[in-house]
Amino acid sequence: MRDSKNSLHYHLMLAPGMILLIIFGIVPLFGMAIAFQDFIPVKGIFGSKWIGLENFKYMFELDDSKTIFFNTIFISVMKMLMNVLIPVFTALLLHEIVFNRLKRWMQTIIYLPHFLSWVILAGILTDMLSQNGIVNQVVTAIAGEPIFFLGSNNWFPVVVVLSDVWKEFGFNTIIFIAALTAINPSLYEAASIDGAGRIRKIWSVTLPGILPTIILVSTLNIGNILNAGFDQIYNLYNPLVYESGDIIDTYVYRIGLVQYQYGLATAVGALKSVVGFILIFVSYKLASRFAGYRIF
Amino acid sequence: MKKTLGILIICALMVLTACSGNNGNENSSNNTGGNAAGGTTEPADPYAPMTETVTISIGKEAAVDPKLPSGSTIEDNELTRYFAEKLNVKYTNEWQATGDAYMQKVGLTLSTGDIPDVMIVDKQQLVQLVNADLIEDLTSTYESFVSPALKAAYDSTDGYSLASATFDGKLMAFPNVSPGADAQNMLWVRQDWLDELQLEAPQTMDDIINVTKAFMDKKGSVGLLGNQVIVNIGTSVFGFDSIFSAYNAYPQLWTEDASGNAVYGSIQPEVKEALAKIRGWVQEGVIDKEFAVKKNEQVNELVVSGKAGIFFGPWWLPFGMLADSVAQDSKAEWVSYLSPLSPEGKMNTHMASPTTRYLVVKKGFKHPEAVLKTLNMQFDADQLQGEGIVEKDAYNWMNMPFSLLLSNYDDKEKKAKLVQDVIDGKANADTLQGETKQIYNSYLKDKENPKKDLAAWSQRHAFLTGALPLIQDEKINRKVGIYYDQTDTMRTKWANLRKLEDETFLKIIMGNEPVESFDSFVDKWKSQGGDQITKEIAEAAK
Repeated sequence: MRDSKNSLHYHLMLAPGMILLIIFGIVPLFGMAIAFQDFIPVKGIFGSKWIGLENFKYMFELDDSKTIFFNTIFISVMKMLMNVLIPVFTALLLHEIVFNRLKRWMQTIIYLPHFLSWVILAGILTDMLSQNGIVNQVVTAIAGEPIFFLGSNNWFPVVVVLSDVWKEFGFNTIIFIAALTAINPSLYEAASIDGAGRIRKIWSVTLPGILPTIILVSTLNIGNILNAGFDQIYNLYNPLVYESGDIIDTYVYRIGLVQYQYGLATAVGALKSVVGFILIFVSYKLASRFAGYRIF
Repeated sequence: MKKTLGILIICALMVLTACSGNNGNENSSNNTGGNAAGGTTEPADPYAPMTETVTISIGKEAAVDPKLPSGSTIEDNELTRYFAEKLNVKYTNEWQATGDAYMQKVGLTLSTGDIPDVMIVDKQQLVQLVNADLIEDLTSTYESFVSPALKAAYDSTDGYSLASATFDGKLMAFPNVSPGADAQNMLWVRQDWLDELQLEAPQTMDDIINVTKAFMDKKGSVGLLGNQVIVNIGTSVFGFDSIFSAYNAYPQLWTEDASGNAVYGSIQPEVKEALAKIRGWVQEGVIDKEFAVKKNEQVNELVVSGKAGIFFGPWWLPFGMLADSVAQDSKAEWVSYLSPLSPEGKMNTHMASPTTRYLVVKKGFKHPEAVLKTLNMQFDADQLQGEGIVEKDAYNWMNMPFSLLLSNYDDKEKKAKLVQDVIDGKANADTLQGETKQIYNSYLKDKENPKKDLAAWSQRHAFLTGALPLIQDEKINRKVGIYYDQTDTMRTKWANLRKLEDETFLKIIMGNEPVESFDSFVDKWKSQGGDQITKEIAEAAK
């Protein structure tokens, strides 16, 4: 504004991103109209009958809705917690390793699963967790009875959360390692002179040093709370564990794309977007308050 | 001056002649058009090439594994080139997709309204297209241009196929005809294991369980295989359809009760009995529990790697999984039996609707007869299995321009019988033509060099082992549904009811819920829209 000639090229650089956002982010929002219609594809949005909140009413009448919302929130909260706690812990451990070469090796190895697709991992997991798979051989040796991991409503969420953490913790660790290296070494020296041991140093220097990063990462994750991981669950679940594993995204996929109930599917998806928007707003406020993170 | 005048005159003459030339052309094309629409006394040639090149854009369902050599594509291969040349038609694929993704893509295409000239839809989509007046009326095209062979195929379903594509007396789509054999599951067993353990061929459900147990003890195999989708009326691999029907239960099939009322198979008391039985076998470990969490491909692997020797499946399995199994272990001998038998000594089986897919032509498309002529030729080419058309490419019917399955309803078992009669010396080998000749050749080739040529092995055993038993009408009790389409209420309520059903059945089978929960399922099913749907179907099936 102040210097429009100089800022023109900035706007040009911004343009492709904005155009993509408009095409893929904003235009599809108009499709939300389907949620208020008895949508018939060949008639399109303009030709289908408007039925007000009928779809939403039906959605809240379904027993499934409660289960699905609960599952979504439960699974993603567990994932968020674990995906902060375990990477922080790992980063601290790696930070304490003196041999740089070993440290780098470890980092690379735990980082690898991040690049595998869930389609492949789900196949491997199904085999590993089957009745006579490697995990159950250990379980049988200890407890005597194999556990039906992917067919039991008690175990399925555990498998989902743990396998997700296993896949992603290496990636998340890197963020915290970066934060660790930013801590001023003179603080450690000062602590040593004051007579602090290793544990004391972690507690009083390292953790406070990366606390802003931890808060930032977790608050920004709140916006993702309704994304519990479609590709993971879609590839792992089966009708036996719909009760504990069916999330909003898998439900919308089944109802909308497989069974053509576009109106209901859009209603569920729209509700997800609204709740997601509120959460992003709240998390942004929290992030700017506690971690000084600002965009605008 | 004179020169210019002369040039002007010449120009004027040229324009005039050009005009009259155009007139002539228009007349001739009008004439052919008139023939197509009117269906005059002189029958049109169902195979005649188009007078001028017609371009058809297609929403194409591609084969999952088209097995095309380099240089051939789904849009341009030996089959499409042959059709294009013979009929003077250019086939272009507007877009293509495979399997489930195809129906999803069609769904999305409908919502944009920009449909290709030809695509294949399901019944629900057909009804929408008819109501929206987006597709061409094909009645007169069918009457004038259908080939006798294709007409016979449509007639082989007693008019069901054409009727289901007819709205207010108008034929709005060309329906598919899938062979009735596809829906009839049989018991597939490793015969070499049976012989080695000196066991009789299993007949009743108890026999099957005993054989399974013997295989588990002596051959280290897993139990009877299953499928997450426990029943599938259309085509069911590893499903428990046969077990249910052995107890006179027909889940998912709309049938009539003793007093002639429409009833839904899944909520009948016989289903509860069958569920309890299956549950018992799962608990015993005779049925491999893993089926509930495994995808079908993972269960396939058990068969291929020799870890499974007994399961239910359709006649065509030698074309895929079983050929892989034989490739792995040349000792594997797969045999199919009509089993389990009911106390009356018959195998019960549900029958599927012969028609589930519809080829529709976009409203305003000028030459619907080009589409039907293509289908006429596709039917013949499929009967010959591409003989004389494909040389380098492997034959796959889905590589033809339109992915619409057209077959006689009793195609498979009839062909198997014809070949078997020749083998038994009851008929002369000269009587065989096209596909039956190929089956016979495959039989000879595989008999001489067993399991060396897997394509021959597959064709021989799919027909002579898989389809042949189905000719014994006196041993099979075929249960035909009274209604296979969707009613209005189903459009909104059915997805939910099916989920309720799938979940309840699987949970009972796996022992997560008591058998008694079947009763509360029935109540729930009725109150959540099932009763309403039953009424609609009783009305529609009349």
